[in-house]
Amino acid sequence: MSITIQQINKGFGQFSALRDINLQVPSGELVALLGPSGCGKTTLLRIIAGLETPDSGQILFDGVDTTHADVRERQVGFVFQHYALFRHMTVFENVAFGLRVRPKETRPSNAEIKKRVHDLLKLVQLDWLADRYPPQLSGGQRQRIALARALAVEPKVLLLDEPFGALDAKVRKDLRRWLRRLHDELHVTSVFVTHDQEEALEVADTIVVMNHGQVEQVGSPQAVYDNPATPFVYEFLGNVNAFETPQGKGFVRPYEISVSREADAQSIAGSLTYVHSVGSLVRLEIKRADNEQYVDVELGREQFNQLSFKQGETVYLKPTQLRVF
Amino acid sequence: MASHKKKHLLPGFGLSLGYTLVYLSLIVLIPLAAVFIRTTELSLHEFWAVVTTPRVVATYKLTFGASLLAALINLIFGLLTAWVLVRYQFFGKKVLDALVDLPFALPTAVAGIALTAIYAPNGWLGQWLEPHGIKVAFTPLGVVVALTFISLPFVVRTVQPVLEDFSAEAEEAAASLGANRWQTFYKIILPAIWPALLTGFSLAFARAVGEYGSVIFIAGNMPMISEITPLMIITKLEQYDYAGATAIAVVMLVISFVLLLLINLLQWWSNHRHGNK
Repeated sequence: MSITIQQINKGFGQFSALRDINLQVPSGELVALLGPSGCGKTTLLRIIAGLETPDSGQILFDGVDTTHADVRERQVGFVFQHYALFRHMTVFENVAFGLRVRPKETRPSNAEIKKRVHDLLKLVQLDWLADRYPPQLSGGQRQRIALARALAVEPKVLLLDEPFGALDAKVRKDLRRWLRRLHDELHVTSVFVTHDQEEALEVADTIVVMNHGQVEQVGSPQAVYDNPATPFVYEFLGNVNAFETPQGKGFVRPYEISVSREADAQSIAGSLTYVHSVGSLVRLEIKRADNEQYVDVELGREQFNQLSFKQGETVYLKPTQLRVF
Repeated sequence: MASHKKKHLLPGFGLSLGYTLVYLSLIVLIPLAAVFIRTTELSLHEFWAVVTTPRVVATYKLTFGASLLAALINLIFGLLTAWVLVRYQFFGKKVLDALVDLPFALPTAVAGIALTAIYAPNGWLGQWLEPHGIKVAFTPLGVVVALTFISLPFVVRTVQPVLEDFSAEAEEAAASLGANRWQTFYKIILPAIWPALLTGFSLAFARAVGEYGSVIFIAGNMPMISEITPLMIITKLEQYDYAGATAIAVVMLVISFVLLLLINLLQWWSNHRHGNK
């Protein structure tokens, strides 16, 4: 199911959380709402779910106006940041909840519920936890149970609020891949909120970068990373060095700078203050001689080994690519 | 060399436990033991005769029956009050919140006189109820009213903080899964506040069983009809029948203890069933 968001505005008292949001989520896509905390991304997700009502504007599901439809009628699966599992119910009952609360006419039989729940638990690879209670599970397991519970009602749209926010780095990475594969399998239109650019770049088909209640840029991960539309997107996605240039503010990625021992007409002198060499990339921290600002540079390990810079040495920098706004 | 003596993380365990035991003994255990010792002045036969006189048995029924009823009424309306105080914003909420504690603060005799004045056949409410055949003052119904009044704060004050802590996310999750308000309440909210409700209920019940001051004004104290057990004890004491008074006290103590034990068992059972150990 496609989602169309038209001119949504939302304020909380004096604070304007969303300003004139327009967005199109094509059917079957996995979209990331990416931005710093307080940018309005969670509010937008809650408005799509029907947990929050916009002050003005419209939400269309498959072209049908659902702005004022109740959350119960929208058929959305919502996965909460802290999972919101029902503590007093077993994992099985948590997943079965959405089926059990249906009115008698549409409620599946007990045998059918049992089969559906076990299928879902198998899908999230936690069939063996059916009789446990949520407090007995790890964070990653809770997350997957929350997802299974949301999927049980066969939602037309899956909405996830910071799905990996509360997990440690390793589990996060695994779950990320797993969610991507799950989405490829199910093809349910999904929107997830994150403040982690790496997460958005790795998982999403489309990234919506938000800041201060507005959409800064919409595009594929590659498009937003390689061609940031605004200075904000440049700074938010990946590491970047910002320069003041006569034409305006200039941005250079750390790997778009060449470092050498020889000066030439355009290069900038600086002293190498720190070398961080773990992994395939070596990160150099260089203090500019002219304005004492720090510049981050990334070199391939082989290149670094050839040049073998020493800490404290004077080096000369030259951007290979510079984008000015 | 591994030490087998378990080390406590917090210092002062011995001292604080010793203090607690002495304190509890002085305040609770020794006076209660005295009740039992005093009773031994009676032979078993005499004891049985005292505690099973029809007039005394009628007071047990009234005291425990009315207390259970009052606690049940407060279970429902106390929950409602707590709900309103936590969930809604309205003018005068702070005042209403403070009013809940009034039955704690008010001397019980004052409460008794006030209730009697209102519910007496010529009182503000009594004059309207009387023509419909509803008599409150000087009947067992009056006892229930007085006990409901004085045990009101318990359920409200135990449930209120739990409701405040209850995450809105769980309710939103239930709604997004298609549950209506009623299903959300009895499947999600009620199990979460159940232990607090039960605690509030048992506190209200215990308070009502021990209540004396407010009841004797409104009850009318007619033998076999509207006499409560604490009054029976006072009556015996006034007749210098100390052994008889303590005998009734022992029965009351045992019944209260058994009932509270049952409530605790129920709580333990419901906790275990829900897997929060």
